Amino acid sequence: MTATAPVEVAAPAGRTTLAGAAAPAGRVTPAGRTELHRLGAKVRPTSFAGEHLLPVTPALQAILPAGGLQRGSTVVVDSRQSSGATTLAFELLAGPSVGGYWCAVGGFSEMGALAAAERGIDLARLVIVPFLGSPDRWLQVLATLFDSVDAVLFAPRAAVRQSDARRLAARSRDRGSVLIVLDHQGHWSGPSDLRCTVTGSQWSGLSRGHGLLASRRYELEVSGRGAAARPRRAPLQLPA
Amino acid sequence: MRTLVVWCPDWPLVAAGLADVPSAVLRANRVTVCSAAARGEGVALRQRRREAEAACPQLVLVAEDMGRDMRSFEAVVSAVASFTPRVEVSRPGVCSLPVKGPSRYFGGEGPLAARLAGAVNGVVAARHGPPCRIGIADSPFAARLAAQSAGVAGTSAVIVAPGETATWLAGLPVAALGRRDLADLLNRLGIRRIGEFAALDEALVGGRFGSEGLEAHRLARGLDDHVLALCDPPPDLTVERELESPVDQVDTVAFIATGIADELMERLSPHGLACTRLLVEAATEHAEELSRWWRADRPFTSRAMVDRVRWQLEGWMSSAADAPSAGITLVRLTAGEVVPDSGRQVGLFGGPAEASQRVERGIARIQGLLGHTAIGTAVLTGGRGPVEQVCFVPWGDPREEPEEARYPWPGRVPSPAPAIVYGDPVAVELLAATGEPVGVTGRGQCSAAPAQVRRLSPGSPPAGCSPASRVATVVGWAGPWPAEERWWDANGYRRRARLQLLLEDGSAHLLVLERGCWGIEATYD
Repeated sequence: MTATAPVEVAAPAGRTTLAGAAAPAGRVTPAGRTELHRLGAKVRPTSFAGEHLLPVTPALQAILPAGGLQRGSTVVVDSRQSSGATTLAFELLAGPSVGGYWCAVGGFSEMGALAAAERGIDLARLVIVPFLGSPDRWLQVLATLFDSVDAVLFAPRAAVRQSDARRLAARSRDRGSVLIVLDHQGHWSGPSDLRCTVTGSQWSGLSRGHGLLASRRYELEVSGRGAAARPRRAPLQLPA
Repeated sequence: MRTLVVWCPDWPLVAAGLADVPSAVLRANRVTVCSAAARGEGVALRQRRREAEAACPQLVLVAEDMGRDMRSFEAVVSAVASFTPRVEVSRPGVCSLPVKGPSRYFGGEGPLAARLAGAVNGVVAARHGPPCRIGIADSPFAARLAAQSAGVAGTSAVIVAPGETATWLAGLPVAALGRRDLADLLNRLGIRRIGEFAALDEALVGGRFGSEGLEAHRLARGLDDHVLALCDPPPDLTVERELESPVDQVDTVAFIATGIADELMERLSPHGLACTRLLVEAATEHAEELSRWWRADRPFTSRAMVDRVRWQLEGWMSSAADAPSAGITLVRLTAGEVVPDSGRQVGLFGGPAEASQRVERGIARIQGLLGHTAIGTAVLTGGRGPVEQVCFVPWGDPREEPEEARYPWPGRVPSPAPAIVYGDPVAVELLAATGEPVGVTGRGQCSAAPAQVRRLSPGSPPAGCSPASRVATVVGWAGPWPAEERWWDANGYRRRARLQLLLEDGSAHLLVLERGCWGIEATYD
């Protein structure tokens, strides 16, 4: 499995007919040729932005507006209202990892790698940078991660300046990798294409002195730009 | 086989540059080597540090460092290798060579020993070391003893005539065989000289002392203890270049490094070797130095070497704290680990090797910025607690999942695993409804139902979600899971109990009790 699997989509067939090209069969007039070039340039991006999707797990497919993670987008997982964001962030990362893409985790030294593996993330293809280094280095390190992997989970330890956040988002957009910000304490004030807020979560299976933590039911609110402009609320069960 | 042994006395001190002052090498608080000046003051081998310092207050002590000794001994080995390429280094300070060929060429064993002593003493004298001793005998073992006896006698060489080795050995005490237990036993049996031991019947020695006794018996009779492991001296695997004028552009240095890397590859390839560990060293005009080891899964190509140089220098020059203050004047590449070059197999249709190339380049770049151990992957290792079950492996180190990961590990807290694991447990107090602290009994039961958890450390909780407020009510709990680990090992012994805890705010945590103190070890976030 290769690390990058760009989805190529042919241009819609119906739009390639044009008057200039309707010359006698086998002959193209000079005018027709220029028209062809103009049209060719117009349809050159042969894949739609919407087709640049990283796969997600079936549980999330119904919840995310695009049914996947848009390449180049920034996803913020917000858990200021309720706990459970880390598992949700792992779930977001699990889809691409299962699909054979490389993922990375930056600045999250407390990450429970075992929990990540249980969510389906392939640890052999998960690059971990527990500490991002000094304040003058971490941006460069994250930017390098965008160059090399397809999805980066970033857990800011301190407030991220808005200008830095914008640069990061722009870099991920430029490289076509997904930035997932795990925001425990409201450190991320930058832009987000998609915002998954855990509005409530409830564990089941454990009671006073017996049982075990078994599964958790989430209340999610997904909002963002474009197709996600209208907030959607959805339940989620993890582990299913 | 007739063998010549070159022995440089007190080599570890010569290597440390301390041979001409009272000094000693310590290992496990005991003196293992001491200089002649220190011996004169009363320092002896196997003395404790305190005794040695009492005997000689101005004694300079250094720790044992085999690497340092071996590196500096290379100079002696290359001096010896100019006589014959077949040199075996036994340990730093001692090397041996078969004497047959060279002695014929240099006109006999006496002249060979004299010439060799001259060449080696030239190297040693530059480090203010005592002159070397040379011994020649029919077996390597006897030659080593001969070299040592040359030291005692104060001559530069002792040559045991061919065929006389057994006779020469016969007069030495059995302790010279170098097997302390055996010598002790032989002494008590009344056998005090090597000759008396050699006179015993071989079959009887084998029956009484086993294979170790047989080996010692061979040595005592002046036979070969082992065949010398001979090979060509390894090629010089260091290439360096001094720059005429200091350079402060990374690109320029990288351009120069291209030539160095190519030269290193050219030295490796005739031997069929490839390099998997590379030492990149750079020095500036102001004598600042930066060296770093680089390791790779696959052997380095010369381009990969240049990349490492570039990244290392970029990292160095852009660092805020210790950026170099002058231009680069020296670049040196050393192949640290070499493996037989089996070529590179690229998978059909690209394959995983090709796919991860982009990843590998990015990671190597980050290693240049943050260091080798700052980036890597996780490996599941097996264990009971969430901390032990995962091991972080720096990128480039072999990533192997140990077999223990599949063991059952009774006492492990069942899945799901906590998503946040704290390096140090967050200290808390677990209280029952009555306000009593909750403990775990010897039978693995909670002493009371937990009702409240209170964080002990002031300030804000660590990143993640240990209970935000200082006091929280427990609404659910399970456990405890007692774990008594490594009870056979006094240092590794740990006795712990773990508890799953659900708090009123909906957060769930894994608590651990050790030595009577509760702590939040992980959070099910």
